[in-house]
Amino acid sequence: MITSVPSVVAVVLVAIATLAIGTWGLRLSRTTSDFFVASRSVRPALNASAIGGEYLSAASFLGVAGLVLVFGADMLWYPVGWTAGYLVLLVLVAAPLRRSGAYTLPDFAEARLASAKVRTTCTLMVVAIGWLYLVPQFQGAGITLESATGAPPWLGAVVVATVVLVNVLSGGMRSITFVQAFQYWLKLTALLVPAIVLVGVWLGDGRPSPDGATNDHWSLPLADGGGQGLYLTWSLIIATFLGTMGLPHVVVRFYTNPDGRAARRTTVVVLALLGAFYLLPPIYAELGRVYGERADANVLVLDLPRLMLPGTSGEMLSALVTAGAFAAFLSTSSGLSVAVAGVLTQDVFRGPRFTGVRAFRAAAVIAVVVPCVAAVAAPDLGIAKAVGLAFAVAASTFCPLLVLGIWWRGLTDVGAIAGLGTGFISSGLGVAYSLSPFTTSGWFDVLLSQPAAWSVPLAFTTMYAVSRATASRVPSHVRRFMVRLHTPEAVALDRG
Amino acid sequence: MLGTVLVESLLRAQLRLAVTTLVPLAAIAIGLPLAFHLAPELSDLHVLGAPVAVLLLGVLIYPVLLLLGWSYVRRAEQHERDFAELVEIAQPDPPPNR
Repeated sequence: MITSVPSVVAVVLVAIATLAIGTWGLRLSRTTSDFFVASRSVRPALNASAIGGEYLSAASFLGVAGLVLVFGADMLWYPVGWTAGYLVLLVLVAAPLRRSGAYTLPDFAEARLASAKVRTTCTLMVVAIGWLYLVPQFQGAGITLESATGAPPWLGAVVVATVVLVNVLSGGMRSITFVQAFQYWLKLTALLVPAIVLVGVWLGDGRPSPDGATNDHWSLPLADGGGQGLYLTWSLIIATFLGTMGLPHVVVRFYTNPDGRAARRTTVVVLALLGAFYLLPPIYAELGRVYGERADANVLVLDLPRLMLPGTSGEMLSALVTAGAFAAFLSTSSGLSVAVAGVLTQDVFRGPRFTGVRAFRAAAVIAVVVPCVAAVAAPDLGIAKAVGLAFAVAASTFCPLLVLGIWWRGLTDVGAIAGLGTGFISSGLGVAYSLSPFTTSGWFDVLLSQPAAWSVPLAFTTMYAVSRATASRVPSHVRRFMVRLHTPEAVALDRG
Repeated sequence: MLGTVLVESLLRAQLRLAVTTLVPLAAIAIGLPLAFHLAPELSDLHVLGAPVAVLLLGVLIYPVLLLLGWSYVRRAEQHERDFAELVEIAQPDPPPNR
């Protein structure tokens, strides 16, 4: 194992910077509203950087380059889907979601359907999706620290969980906004600077091409296996395009916009920031095909500078990339922890013993500790694979709820619960299958390992059909609520 | 009531706009994999030294997504401005915003 002093220093610096910015934010956050949604005063440019910082997780920073290196161009659909998901969110959800005036997904569901049962169902799903997404972040942190220092894999998970917990406990969402915005720019720099240097090295070497040893299908943007490959690719596209809007940490971020118009403008800036970032991982994958035959694909991004530039300069660049990777784990897990802690505060830690900020702190401990333990105990699924499943679950549950809730008056509480349950169970089958030691082959394996292409339509159909069958339960305030969702704030309309 | 009619027409306009924005996206998402499935030899095609799939999915798609988003926001805000003007005309003395 390589022990790299610059990488250790980089990890420590990122942790200190994160905590310092978090503490600076503490002085600005005073009330419960500050803790949850930064009192809704975050401007588009800052908020978009924060969304980018929060969203670009271990899977984006480490996973994409390794996947493209090993499996080829079809893996490019991951970053494309993670970006296109924001376009779908912008067009169908952003402004109305902000105008609904709710803090979280369960808040939205309750306000729209006037049902405590729908609220509870949503709370369970937010926690499930949040934890499913947190586990690979913590595992990724373990792999990164192991690669940089030779430390045992559980140590990285515990370090990241501790920094996140301290940060969330001290400042909540307000400080998180500054931390996240800082981390987007850190992550971009940490991939961009080494990429420029390494491309320079490649040009200096006379632009060698890959050996041709990698498989013939490398430049085919489709999974292997004919019809099954086409299904897998489409299913991945559906999960990522539609799952983004249902991720708890993404949705919470939208409530921090001052109004619906700002929510839209923020999303467009996010599209630009994500697009700029995702230009970089394929460069590492291409260079990895030439220089990286000795690299471990999981940590290709971390190892490539060392492999291409032996000596101090390579070590320094590897340290920079390691810093970026740590920023990725810290920011995504902070955002997810705040979102999970937010719903737990509102729906679980209630009653006289738990008030305001104290309840939020108790919830934050649960939100972080459970997935951290799971990350240490659970088998390593591969970061992008586990994150992909979280997208499939989000696309099969909250996507139908949001889209039908915002654009269709006929949605009922019974229909919502039926659709959420169907989507959750069918996509959950895929999660259970991937976690279990049980394996199979053929179409059964294909359908279970990438369930979105059938579970999303199934959830939509169930939600629609059951709502139609229970049409008498359409809430009486739906007309007024629709007016509120779609009317610009500038218009002084009776919003009820 | 007039307000309800106006809101109805705003909702329909925004939904139509959403669909027209998502159609090109769906065409890319369905069409690109299908094209490469039906004609795998496309993957041997190189433009500027890079495989065409990498060029499309690694680079060119991002400006397209940004452009779709930007033009959506411009038109959605236009719909809202039109709506606000019509409400001004219909309700010269609006009730206070509660």
